Formats: sequence, structure tokens, C-alpha cells
Amino acid sequence: MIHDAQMDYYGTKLATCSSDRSLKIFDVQSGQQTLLADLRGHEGPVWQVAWSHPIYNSLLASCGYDRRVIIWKETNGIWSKLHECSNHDSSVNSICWAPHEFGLMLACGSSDGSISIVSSTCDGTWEMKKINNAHTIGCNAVSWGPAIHPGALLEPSGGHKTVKKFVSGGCDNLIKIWREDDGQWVEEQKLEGHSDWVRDVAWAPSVGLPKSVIASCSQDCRVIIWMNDGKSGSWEPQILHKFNDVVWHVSWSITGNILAVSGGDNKVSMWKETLDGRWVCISDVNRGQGQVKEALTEATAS
Amino acid sequence: MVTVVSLDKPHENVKKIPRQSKWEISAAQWNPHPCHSTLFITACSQRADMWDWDGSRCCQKGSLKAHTRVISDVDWSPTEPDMVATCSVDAFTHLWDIRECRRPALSLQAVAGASQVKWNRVNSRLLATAHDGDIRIWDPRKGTAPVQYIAGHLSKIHGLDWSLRDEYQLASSSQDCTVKFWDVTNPRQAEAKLSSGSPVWRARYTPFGKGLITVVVPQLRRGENSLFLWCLSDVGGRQVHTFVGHTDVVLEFQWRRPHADTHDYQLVTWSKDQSLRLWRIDPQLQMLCDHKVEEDLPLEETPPITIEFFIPNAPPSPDEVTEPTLVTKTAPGGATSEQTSSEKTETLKISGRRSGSSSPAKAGSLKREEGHSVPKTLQQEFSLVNFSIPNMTVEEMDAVKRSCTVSALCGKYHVKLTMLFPENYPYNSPPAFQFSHETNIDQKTEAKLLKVLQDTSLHNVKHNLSCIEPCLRQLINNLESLTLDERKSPDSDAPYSHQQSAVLQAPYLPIYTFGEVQDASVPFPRTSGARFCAFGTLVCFTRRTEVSVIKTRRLSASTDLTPRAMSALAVYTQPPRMPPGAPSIFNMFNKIVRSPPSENAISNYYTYKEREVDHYEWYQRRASVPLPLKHRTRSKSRMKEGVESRRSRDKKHQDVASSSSTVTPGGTTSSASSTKNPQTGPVILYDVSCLLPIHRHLGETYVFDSEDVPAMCRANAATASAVGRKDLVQVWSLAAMASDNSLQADSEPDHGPPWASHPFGRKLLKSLVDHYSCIYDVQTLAMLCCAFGPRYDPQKPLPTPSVTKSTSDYSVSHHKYQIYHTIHPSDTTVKGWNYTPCKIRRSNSSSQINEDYKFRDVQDPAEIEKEQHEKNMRMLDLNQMLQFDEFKKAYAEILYRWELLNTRAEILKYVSTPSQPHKGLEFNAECQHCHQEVRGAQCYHCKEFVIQCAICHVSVKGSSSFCLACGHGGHAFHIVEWFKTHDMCPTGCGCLCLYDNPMASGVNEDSAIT
Repeated sequence: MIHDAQMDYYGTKLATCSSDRSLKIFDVQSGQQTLLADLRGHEGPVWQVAWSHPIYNSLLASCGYDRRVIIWKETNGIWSKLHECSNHDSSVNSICWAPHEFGLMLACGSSDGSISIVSSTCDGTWEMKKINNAHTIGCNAVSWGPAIHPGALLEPSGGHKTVKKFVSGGCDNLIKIWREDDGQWVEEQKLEGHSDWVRDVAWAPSVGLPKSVIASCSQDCRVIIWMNDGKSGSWEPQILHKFNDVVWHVSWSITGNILAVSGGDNKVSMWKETLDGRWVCISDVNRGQGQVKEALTEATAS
Repeated sequence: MVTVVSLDKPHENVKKIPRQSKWEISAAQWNPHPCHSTLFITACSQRADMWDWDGSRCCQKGSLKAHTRVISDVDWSPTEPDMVATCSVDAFTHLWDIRECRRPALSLQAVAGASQVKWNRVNSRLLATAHDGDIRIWDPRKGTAPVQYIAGHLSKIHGLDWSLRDEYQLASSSQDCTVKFWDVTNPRQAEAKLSSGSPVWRARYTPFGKGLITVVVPQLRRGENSLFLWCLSDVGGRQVHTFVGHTDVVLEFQWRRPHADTHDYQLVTWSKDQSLRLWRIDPQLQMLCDHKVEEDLPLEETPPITIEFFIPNAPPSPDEVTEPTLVTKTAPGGATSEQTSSEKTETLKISGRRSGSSSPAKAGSLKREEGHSVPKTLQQEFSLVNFSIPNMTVEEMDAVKRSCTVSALCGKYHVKLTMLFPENYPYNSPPAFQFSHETNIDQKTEAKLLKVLQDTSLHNVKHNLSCIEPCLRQLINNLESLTLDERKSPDSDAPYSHQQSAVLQAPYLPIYTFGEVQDASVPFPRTSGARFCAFGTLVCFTRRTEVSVIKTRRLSASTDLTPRAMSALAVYTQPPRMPPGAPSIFNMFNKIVRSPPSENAISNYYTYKEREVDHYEWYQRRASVPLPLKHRTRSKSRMKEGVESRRSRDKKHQDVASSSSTVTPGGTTSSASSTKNPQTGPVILYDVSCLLPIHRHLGETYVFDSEDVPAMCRANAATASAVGRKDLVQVWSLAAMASDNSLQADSEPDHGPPWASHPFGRKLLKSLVDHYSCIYDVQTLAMLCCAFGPRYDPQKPLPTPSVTKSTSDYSVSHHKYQIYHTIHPSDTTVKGWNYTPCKIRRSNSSSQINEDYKFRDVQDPAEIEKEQHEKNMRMLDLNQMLQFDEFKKAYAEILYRWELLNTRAEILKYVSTPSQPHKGLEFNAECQHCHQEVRGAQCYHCKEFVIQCAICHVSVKGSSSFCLACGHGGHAFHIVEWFKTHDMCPTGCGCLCLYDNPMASGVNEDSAIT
């Protein structure tokens, strides 16, 4: 059972992780696929993978049920563990590399309710900061904000300091925005809108506009788009849609104009913002009703 | 079942009153008045019952029936002995006079259901009720509407408590992790707020000092089983003490003062762990809450008293269907000392199916840090051990013989283990282990198990900790891994064989106590999803449809939704209880019983056995899916963007479509079993770049020309036309016209307003920018900003390195100023005029003029006007320059992804502030001729080339390499060639360059100066 699949920065390699405790890396250039590596190291299902920016040699991070986060590195085609963090007390559900401008930095959200931020120091060691009790019961998702600080754009000059921020969602139905303040992580904002566990959050990539957008999805079957115009500090929620089943993933396209939503019903849909600010479904990357029926008939026939 | 316990003699006076009801008691309270001290009230479902307790028996005095839904709270009036208030989720709060039980004396109606009702302790004419996040304050004389309404919390309020002294002080505890303190006359704002880390179930004022006790919400079932004592003298509250001891969440607590002549208080707590604990609050602890204790009290002489009592296990009463959840008990304390002194025996009742024992509570002892309460006796430990260990049954437990026998059944193994506890256990003396003759494991394994058990027990008793439960868990873990071991050999090609071997490598997993409770907070595994990756790829991974069908079928029994937590997977387990004739789906689960409990929950789900569908055939069919999608999305985007030169685009899309691929990874373990990749659906890569507003082809072919902007715009219009972006053709044509040379503004302000102030000038550009912002077309935005923005030429040497780092307006303009200064060093008097030729030389576009051009020392109004005019000449608004820079940077990032690095560098030249100050090491060369430090290839002091190649003795203009040790080097190519065969410096200085450079490992590219 695959739990996550992600491509590297250039789209040449595909990493998948699975319940069989393994990660697999495929070369997917030129329409062919070749298995490059089969990484073993986790002792439980692996929930998520993440590629770092190529200026850090495209490291691969993975997290899983075994409470571990492993950072893998390729040297001459051989993949090996570069670092292993096991400082969580429960399953690590989500990992996300920070924008490369912030340095090599990884946020990890765990079911023990805490979020850890692992960053590489210059001398090859890793430093860990932990936000305890970030989400009661558990943290399910983390996503970094872009390195461009939207607030600074409105000031004509000066103060152009990027603030490191990320967003997290958890079992307390809350979405929290965290900010690094003088080396410490502080909660900047708490967004209430979901009525059940938040399963995924995604901070939209910035194309340089002052507004910030966060998408969140939840067990309550809803996807909410949170928008901050960059002028006031408030985040305005807009319900994208209420789906028929729980929503597991939200993912933004590189320009932030399309949102891919997928959930427990095994379906994927894509949403686009119209010029007047509404969200419309542009395509159902669905397996199709026909397919399901087909499978049903197969099942009954056998 | 109602249990009454005398708190003065908690070990003797325990009485249980059986009840005939299938509902749990939701609330209970003694009458606090001496005249009615034998009366208590219990609430159960919609009814409240009054009971009279004569010291041995209990008789029902009456029932209060008026609520239509379950009663959530009851509260006796602290001033009127016959008055009691009940509240319910039916939104009513009834006030009863117990002399007239048939109907409530008064009914207070609210819109939302009430969760708490509390009388004011000082003013008998006030009571507070909590409804979700709101608090209502009532005066019974004005019963129609609340006298005060406080929108207190954003989340549900769990508890209310009035201050004991201050008439208007109210504390509310809520799900939002805060306790708020209110002056009820001012509902707008809380007077103070205490932030606890977790949702607060109850918060009660201490009867002494300025303290507060909080407990976390029991529903969380996780983590905190302690009570916290806060001192409220400080703003925001300060946690001063933690009462540790309960092994499960605390449900209720109350205050009590055992004797009027002592200064001690007791905190009585009732927890879900079935134990009632009495905590002594001695004066030291009270002082932590700013309580002034009389000075004549000899503090040292009050030894900490440990109150213990033990309630023998009661037989489970059949009328309790669930385990006891909510129990309220009241020690009639919590009020003033006059009341408590009049009580002879204070009693306390407990309801529940099984009463546990309480371990000694060391409240108030001077060793406050000691957080672990140790069961003193074996009997206590027996009653505390959680025997809900899978596959294990307790056969005998005898505290007198000091032995415990358990049997475990795991696979084909049957183990019967007897533990014998020495007299001074658990103080550094481990129990003895013995396998009985019924055990059917071989000698070797038995020895191994014994070793593990002894290690585990020793580890615990060394710290004087009890060890029964850890030992038993260890035993079962080991047995399970043994069972796995057995299974491994017969079907080693099973998909999970590798995982079994992983388990075997770690013989037991002592760190992880996997269990369903933990999994309750782990989200349900995602088994399908879609992610945008790289530039325009959507990676989709799915379950196989068959699996989802099975899943929904199985789940539909309970809920239509996918469960949220992984613990839900446990539903699929429990194979031993399967009836033999169970449907085939259940048979799938039987195959995975072998996995250890740690994996049970998940692996069961994953090991859905494949239906006998030929995977490849199926996969082939599936593989054709991406193509229809592609056509669909293409047509959509085409509709939107307009159709132009369809043929060329079609060709392009054909290429794109053929490059999308399907992958089937994961799930399998070895190449042998990969032929029947059972559960995994394929990973499908969709190329969705046609949905994006930006185009790689445009990125490749767009041109930059700061010298001739109209030509640049025309060329880009042609490019846009080639990819079929009709709108962009128009944009670039407009841009070409707007930037036409004939429209160049005169630098003289007197010659009329510049073109930029025309509607087709800056306004046109602004509306274009706004539009493309709306559709997130960062490519067009960045290109427009480049076309109309100034270009910064990094070829010009920067005067000082510090300037590169500074971003402020002033230093940038200063830096520009110096650039010009180097061109015209002599003219400093009439600055404004001297730059005109320079501008013209650099560009013939008005937009080329340096935005940061400012003169600090100009006073002349004509100069100011001119300055203003220059600003007005720009096509882009100066104030938004930073914004435009961000567009360029964002586009540069995308170009990086496309690996169009030259274009990216071109874009970054237009960024007004350097994107990233250089952070790493920088090498400076020393000019051979004038010995000045130089950063470039050419010395700008003596205009000579700085570096001479050590091999060909020609000046180096391009890339160069140097030895850091001896400083010799030259053309990078020459040096690389040289060191292929040599390891010594080519100059013959004797330096072993290859070895003396710590940073150059293997390759001799020490530094490169371009």
C-alpha cells in the first residue's frame, strides 16, 4: 500500500513509500521507469517522503509509524542514511523541507502532539528544536510558507527580512501558523474552521503577490482555503467544497493556481480559482465510475 | 451502583447501594447544610433522585422529574437547605424546592443545552449556567431571562466555579485550553486568563489563598492524569504543584476540611482508574497559593500523612453496561469551616462497577518532585495491573501466597507462567519465574524467555518499581516474535516475510508499546493521493479499486466515511473469534494473525489478498487512463486560452502525452513476488503543465534586450504567437507600442507630462499586471516587469563589498552614484545635468533610468520637480518595485527548475536588490602589479590583468584555479591538466598542492575566480 509518492525538484526521480517499510526510488525520465533504489530502514509503515532542493544535493527525507525520520543521501548512485531522528514519542505523520532560502531545514509533525524542526548546521551536524504540545492529541500535517515574506512587499523599502513560517494541522481540528521569532518558534495564529481532524495543510507557493493562501483538508470532508491579503493579519476562510468522503491530501501547483484534492474515496479532483475569486472544479482525475463498476463485476464473478 | 465511603474511615465505611437502572449516574451531590446532612441527590438520565442516608442504609426520598433529556449537573443551594438546581441538555435549568418535588419551583430556559449549574457561594440570588461556550448568570427573581450573558469561550465550557469570597468572581474552564476569570458585572472581557496546555475539564478555587486546581478533559484519555495547582496571584497564573498518582484521568474532585482545628485541607479526587484519593494539603502547600498561615504554627512538626484505603473488588453489577465514566461526589467542604466542623462523619459515594484501590497519595510531602507513586503492597499492585494484554489470561492471583499465574496462548505455543514474589518485593528483589509443565516450548526458548523476564524485572525492581505488567508484556511480545519465526520458513515468499525478519532482528521492542490506544491518535493511513511535483507533474497514487470496494463494504456497517484514526483498523482484526464459516473476506485476515500486535492493526489492512485478477492485464488497461485525461484537460485549457496554431500545439502535446508514464512500485518485497503485486495500484504521472499559466517553451525562447525594448516586445509577441497564447501576443504588441522610442519622455519637465501618465502608459501596464496576478501568470508578470523595469548591470564592479549586502534605499542609490562617479569623476557640482548623457548611452528607454536616483543635497525646487518628473517618467510604479522584484525572483525559481540557468541569470539582473548576499567563502586576489586586493579579473587600480597563469604565463581572463597553500595557479584547464600527472606546484616552489589543500579533496579546483 503506497502512502506517498513525490518527485524531485526537476521531475526526474520519483520516490514512493509504502506500508511494507520500504521506500523506492524510480528514474522516470523519458517516459521509462527504472527502479534505482529500494531503501530499508524504517521499522513500520512509511507515511511520507520529501525531496530537498537540489542545492542541498536532493536529499530525501522519510517519516513513518516507527516514530523515526530518516534523511537519505545519494552518493554515486548508492543511497544511504545521512541522518536519523528519533525524538518523537509517536508516529511521525508529516515532514516538509523548508524553502531553500532558509537553509536545510525540515519540519516534522507527530502524533505525540509535537512538531520538531530539524536543521543542518554548517559542520554537518543536525540541530533540533521541538514545539511541544503543538496540537493536542496529534499533529497530522506541516507545510512551510514561501520564503518571500508577503508583508514586506507592501512596505516600499526596508524591513525586507524573511520570516520563517510554517503551518500545521492536527487532531484538535485546528490549523496553526508558527513563526520563528528570535530563534524560538511561536504560535502566530490559530485558525478554527474544521469540525474534525485536519488531515493536510498546504501553503500555496508564492508568485510574488502580497497575499498568502493556505489550503486545509479534514476528516469533516471539507477543504478550506484560507486567504490572507497581506495587509491585515487575518485569514479569511472560504470553503472550497464538501466532499463525500474524508479528504486526505491537498497539493498546490507550482504557480499556486490549481489545487489537487484527494481523499478516502480514491478520487482526485483539481480546482482552479476564477478571476472573480471563486473556486471551480476543472477536472476529475477520477478512476471513473465505470471503473469501479467494472471492478465490482469482477469481484462478483470470481 | 452507588458507593458511600466515609472519608474519616475510608477503609471501613464503604457501603454500596445497588440501583436498578441501565443509565449511568451523571452527577451526585450531598446537601451541604447540617440540617439536611443525610440527604444527597443523584442525577441519572432525565431524572434526579433524592436519597436519605442513615449511616447504614439508604432510602429514596423522591424523584425530580421534569427534564426531557439527560441531566448534566446538579447543585444544592449553599444558603437555602431545601433548594437544589438541576440543569440538562434540554436547555432548561430547573430550581426545585425539595419539599415539593412534583414540579420545579422555577424553570430557567436557554437556547442551548446547559452543561453546568452553579450557585453563587455568597449571594443566594445568583446562579450561573454554562451553555457551550457561553455563560448565563441568572437571578431567580427574574427568571425569564438571564441577568447577564457572557460569551466566554470559543469552545465548549466544561466547568464553572464561583469564588468562595468574592460575589462577582467566576472561573470558567473550557475546551480551548484556558481558564478565564470573570467579573460577572463586566461580561465583555475576562479579568484574567490562565492558559493550560490542554483542554480544562474542571477548575476550582482553593478554599485557601488564591489558588486554583485544574484537571484535563477526561475524554482525551491520553497523557495527563494529574491535577494541577495554580497560584493566581501572578498574572496569567503560575503552576505551583502537581498532584501525581492517578493512573487514569481524573473525573471529579472536591475540597474538604477534615477537622476545624487543623490547618490542613484535603483534596478528594475520583478518577477513571477506579480509585478515590485523598490528598493532604498541608500549610506549606497552602502557602504556595499565597495563603497566610498563622505564625504560631510550627510548620516542621506536621508530618505528611498518607491516607490509604482499599476498596475490595466489587462484583460487576449487571445494570452497568459501560464502564463507569462520570461520578460526582461531594465532601460537604469546599465551603466555610463552620460547615465542616459540624460534620461527624463525612461520607462520599462512588458509583461504578468495580472499585479499585488507591495507592498512597503523598500530597504535600516536602519531596514534591517525586512524581511516581509506588504501590506499597502486592495486593495493590495486583489490582492496579492492567491485564488487558492480548492472548493472555490470568489464572490465579494470590496476595497471601504472593504468587501470580498467567497463561498465554500464542500460535501453537501455550505458556503457563507462575511468578513468586519475595517478601520485600518490589524493593530491589525481583520475583521468581517458573514455567509450569503445561508449557509446550522447548528448553532453549524457555531459557531465553526466562532471561528476558529476569532482565525486565530486575530493571524495574532496581528502581523499586513493580514489574508484573512489564514482564507479562515482554513475555507476550517474545512469544509473538517466536510465532513469526515459525511462520517465516514455510512461506518465505509471503509479501511480509521481510518485515518478520525485521522483527526478529529486534527480538523485542521494549521501547514501543504499540497498542490500539496509541493508534487512536495516529491518523488513518492515506492510501491514495495526488501531489503536484516538479514543474507540472501531478503524481497520483491509488488503491486498487477492488480494495476500496472491499473496504467500503466492510465499513459501511458502521459508518460511510473512512475512519479517521488508525485504531479503526483494529476492527478488521480479531481473527481468532471468526466463526469457521465466515465469508472469504475474513479468511484474508486469518493469514496475518501471525504479526505481532505492533503490526496487527496496520498490516491487517494492508494484506488484503489479491483477487485472482491478472495484474498485468489489469495494469495494461489502467495504463491507458492518462491519455484521455490529457485530452480533456488540453481541450479545457485550449478553450480558455484561445486556439491558435493548433497544429504545433497538438504536436507538442503528443510529445507530452507520450512522456507521461505509469509506475507500479511498493508493496512487494522481492523480485520474485513482484509478479503479483497485490494491493498496490499504479502510480500515475500526469503532465498537467498545460493547465498552468506558464510555459516552458516561452521561458526558453523569450528574449531580453534592455537596449531596444520595443524590439524585445515584438520578438516576444512572435514567440507567444508560436505557442498559441493569443492573449500574450496582444500584451507584447501593446508593450511594444507603449515602449516605442517616439514616446520617450523628455528629461525636461517643462515639455509636458511623460507618456507614463497617459492611460496607455502606467495605467495600461498596471491593469495588465493586475490581470496576470489574478491568473498567477508569473512568467508574463516577470517579463513585463523586466521589459519596463531597470536593469542592473553586475558587470560594473561594486565599490565596496558591504554595499552588496545592504538593501536600504540609500545605500543602493549611493552605490549607483558611485558608478557614475567613476565615469565622470571631475564633475560634482551640477550633478543633475551630467547624468543625461550617461543615461542615453546606457539606454534609450525611459524605464532605464535608475529608480533610486536621489540627491540628498539638492535644494533647488527645479531639481525637486525634475526628480519628481523622473519618477513620473517610469512606466512602473516605484512603490511597487519590491513587489515586481518578487515576481522576477519567483520566475527565476521556476527557470531554475527548468534548468534554464542563463535565462535565470538574465532575469536576476533586473532585480533591484541583490537576491542573496553571498554567504560562503570568497577569495580575493592580489594584483601582481600594484598589490591591491582585487575581486575581478582586472585590477581597477592599474587596469592590468591580475592573474598570470603559472603554466602558460598568459594573463587569465576566464576561470582560474589556485592552490590555497602556495597561491600559485592559472587557467583552470591548464591546472587540471597539470595535476593529472603531477602533484607538485608547476612553478617549482616545492608545494605539494594536492596534499596541502585541506578543502580540495581529490580535485584541484581550489577556488575559481571569474
